[in-house]
Amino acid sequence: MDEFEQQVRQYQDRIYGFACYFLKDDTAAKDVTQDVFIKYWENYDDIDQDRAMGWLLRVTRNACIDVLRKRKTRRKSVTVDSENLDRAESPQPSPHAETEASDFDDHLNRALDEVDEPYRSVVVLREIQNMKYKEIAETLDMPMNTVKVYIHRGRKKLRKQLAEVLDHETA
Amino acid sequence: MRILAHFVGPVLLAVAVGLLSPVAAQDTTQNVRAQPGYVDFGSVESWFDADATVEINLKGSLLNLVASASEHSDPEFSQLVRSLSAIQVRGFPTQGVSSQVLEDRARRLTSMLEDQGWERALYVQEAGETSHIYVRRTGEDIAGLTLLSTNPDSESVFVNIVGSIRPEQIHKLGRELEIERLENVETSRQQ
Amino acid sequence: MKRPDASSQTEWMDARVEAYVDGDLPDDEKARFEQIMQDNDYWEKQVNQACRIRDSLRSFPQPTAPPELTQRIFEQTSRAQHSLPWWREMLQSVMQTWRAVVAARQQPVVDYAVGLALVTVAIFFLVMPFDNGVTPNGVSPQVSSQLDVPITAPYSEAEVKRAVVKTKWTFEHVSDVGDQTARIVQEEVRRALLIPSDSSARAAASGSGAAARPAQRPTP
Repeated sequence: MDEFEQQVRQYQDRIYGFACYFLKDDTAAKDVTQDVFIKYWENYDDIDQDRAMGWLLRVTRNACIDVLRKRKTRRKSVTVDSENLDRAESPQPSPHAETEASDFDDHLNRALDEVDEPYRSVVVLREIQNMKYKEIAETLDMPMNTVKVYIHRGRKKLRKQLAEVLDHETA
Repeated sequence: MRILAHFVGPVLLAVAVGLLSPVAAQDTTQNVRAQPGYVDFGSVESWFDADATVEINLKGSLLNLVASASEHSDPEFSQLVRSLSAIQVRGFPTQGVSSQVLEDRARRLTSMLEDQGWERALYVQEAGETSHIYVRRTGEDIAGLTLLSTNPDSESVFVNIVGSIRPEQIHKLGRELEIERLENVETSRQQ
Repeated sequence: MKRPDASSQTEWMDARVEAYVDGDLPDDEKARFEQIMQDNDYWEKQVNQACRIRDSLRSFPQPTAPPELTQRIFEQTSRAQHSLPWWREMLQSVMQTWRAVVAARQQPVVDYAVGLALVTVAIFFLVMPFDNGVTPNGVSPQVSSQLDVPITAPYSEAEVKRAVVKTKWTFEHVSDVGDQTARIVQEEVRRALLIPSDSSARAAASGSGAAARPAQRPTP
């Protein structure tokens, strides 16, 4: 049990973080995280421990997709638990710049909700969770080139969705 | 002696369990890419500016589950799927793409395949539609089949089937199947 | 700032903005991209926007799992752990210890062989009649009902069904292409051997003069 506990503490933030950004629902993210680790425990002896992170992320992603499918309507607005997702601030922001940055991040967060799979997963894993291309490729069982292509396409979709916001800022 | 005899059954079962270990299955997933019949479609995707209209990635344990799920309803289909290691499909729209670009893409793929030791089994062109079929042999057996079909008014479809293949089996089964149209932009689930 | 015309160049550029920002373009494409960008401010703006998006994403905070979540996980798994018979607890402990030893020695072959022996012992106990009825799946019903996937694999029944459909679709597509090519080859052979096809024979019989469309000769 000690080794399992150690791994829960080691991996839970990443799993929970991924579920949060995928589902945009803190409660659902907690449920998914709990269920994933219970499933991990039940299959513990069968899982290659060197690939545990990949297994956990795959199962989390599948669970998140199942949750989204069961939702009857897509979310149109972000409901983020601000207790856990305080926005990072630039080192010396001016008041105007700080408001602008947080507005843009809100728009970006909402736009991410509109990005379909598989692009959303790879963008979250790479750009938010800072995983390496190779790690993402092994986790999602994709060629590395495909991971790169999907990341670029996912961010392109964000750029298209945020075009008006970005144009308005520079105007 | 009676105690030892009692162990024979469990030992044989343990050997079977060990051979079917999920760890071995995970290793199989990684080994699919190393199989001669496998084609890395990652580079193919980067040639297209548009999103795929069809995407299928089936490997390893998921294919085994497909075979198991069909065992009773369609044993011949199940048997064929069991002999396979991977199925990959990519479809990209071709409307608005010039014929020159389509030819270039086809040429790049066929060059890539031929460089990797694939043999062209068939090339057909009719009214602008083209079909290439390539096979990868290991000895006398076919270890992989790659098909590229392009309809300039519709889409280019790339298919890679990895495993111990008998093409006549696929053709026969394909004729007998009644399949609903795939939804657009099928996203694959990874294992 | 000049707005580019809707053209294939626009599509070409638009598809490569993010790859350019990440430095993932091949040299020739990068040179072409920069040349076009130099002549048109619009693309420089797109690149700046793509940078902004990437940098903002990378500044998003990493959520921390709340302590009560960790506690719930341990409670659920602990409850299941304590519901196991003593021999399973011992076996799990032995497996964990052995895994740690073998990882240190880095001898996977030995691990596999000994693991097999341990599995033998496990199977022996599993096939012995036990009447306590406890299974490893004795997890509290408080577990979220949102997940309904089988325990042995991360695939749900729905996913397997979809995979069956995809497999059959692939076979049908391959078969369709095979049929089409076989028909073309057959027509070509007929033409070469001057054997009339069914359609041209019918046309000749009806006197319409319409002939079957000849297939293009396949390349050797």
